[in-house]
Amino acid sequence: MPDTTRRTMITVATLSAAAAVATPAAAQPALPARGLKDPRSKYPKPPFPAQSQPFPGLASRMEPRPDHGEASYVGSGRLKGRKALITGGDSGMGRAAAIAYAREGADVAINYLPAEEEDAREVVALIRAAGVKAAPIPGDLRNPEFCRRLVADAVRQLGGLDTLVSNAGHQKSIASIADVSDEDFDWTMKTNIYAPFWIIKAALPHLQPGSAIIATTSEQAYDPSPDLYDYAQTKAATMNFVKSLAKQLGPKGIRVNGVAPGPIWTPLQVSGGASEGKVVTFGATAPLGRPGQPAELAGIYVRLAEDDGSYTTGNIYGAGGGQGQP
Amino acid sequence: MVKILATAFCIAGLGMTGLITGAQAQEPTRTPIPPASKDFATDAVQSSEYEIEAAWVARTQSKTPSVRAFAQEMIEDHTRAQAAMRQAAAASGLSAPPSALSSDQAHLLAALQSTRGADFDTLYARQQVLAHSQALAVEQSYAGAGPDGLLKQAARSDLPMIQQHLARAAALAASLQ
Repeated sequence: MPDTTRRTMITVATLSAAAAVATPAAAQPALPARGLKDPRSKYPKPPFPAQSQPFPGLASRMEPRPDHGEASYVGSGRLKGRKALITGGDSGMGRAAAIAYAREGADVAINYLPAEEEDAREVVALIRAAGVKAAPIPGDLRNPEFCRRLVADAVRQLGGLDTLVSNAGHQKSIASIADVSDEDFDWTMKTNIYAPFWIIKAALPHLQPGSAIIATTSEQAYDPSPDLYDYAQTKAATMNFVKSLAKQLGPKGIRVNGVAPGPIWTPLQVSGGASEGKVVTFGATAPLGRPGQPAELAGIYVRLAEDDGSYTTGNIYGAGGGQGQP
Repeated sequence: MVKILATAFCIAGLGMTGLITGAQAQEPTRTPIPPASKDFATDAVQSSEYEIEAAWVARTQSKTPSVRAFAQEMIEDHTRAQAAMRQAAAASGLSAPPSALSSDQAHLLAALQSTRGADFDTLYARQQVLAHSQALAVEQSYAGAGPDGLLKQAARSDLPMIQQHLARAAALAASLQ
């Protein structure tokens, strides 16, 4: 029997035995063929079709469609029994994390904007197909009351919380600071800085030793683009709070880490996050010659949540395609 | 066990098919939101600036006649297009668009400057396809629904040139493979 098949069987056997049901395990895709894959040609390259969507944008309407690991991510019980809340879990890195967490055995609550319901439904179906609990909790993170309710709802529906992925972000490309309105600035700050503060603060009483907080920062934290004046500074702030909170919460046994993506093919980019022209050549500057796909970061979110990564805290993991920091 | 395995493979296969069909069946949403006039003028001037600078690098670093001839044409055409765009911006009362490169263009130029020989030629040709695809998207979107008449006219007169450059860049890239 080839090695891949055996591994699949073991995975399936372990999961179905542990979950005592056959269906959830059956929903896992088979392990992909092993061997070398060229990272340059593994996914679509620019130029891409010109496209733009009204905010907040849907992954299902992007061309090409982003890959969040729907058909490829195979779990092996690395997060069995965990309970995770992921903000921005309908698309992009949050969706890739949600799919991966579910297939690793975690119950998953996802937050998203009501306008993203279409994408969110697909994710909920994928989570449930993995045989774990899914808790969809739509709402706008700019509202502190909602943020507190989000945590309370997630705790209630999942029966606890031990993994918080603070991932939702707002990004709008504006060429000049002179054209950034107070409303624009406030929108970015509320979503990217205030919401993580409100959510982490509300989640803290529920997090037992062994819990993990993971925040999505960006290559923009280190080398900001001129048209992302407001967004880039929120990502620098995120990188920074990961480090202060890691010092604060290390003594309590809670790990805090960040993920810094480079150019990743997500709805955020085609709904105002990048200019229409930049979308066409998106990712062309990366030495790999293409943007990353959310699926390529799924393993990082799993790594930072799982117990095997227990010495990693206060750190930022990157996926930059060869450019930028960290 | 065999049955479970078969189901697993089957579902994986279905998932894959679903994705591919989804991508083909669904047209990307294209809302007609043209760039603001000031941003468009800056973009167009920057894109010509990048073409000119990259072409100068090619004139200096490439020994391939087809690449050098293409580069020479880029210098001439984009110097002309850049001047026309500046003029249209000034006539429309916009402040002079800066000719500094965007951060993406600076990255591309740096990558170009660090290659030599055949690698240089293929990278230059590939970058030319990308740069002209981007320029085409921006100019088409403004030419279609831009708010300023003069800039719109400038965009329209740029379009045949960009389309021709794009076709020639693609042919150049193919000839170098």
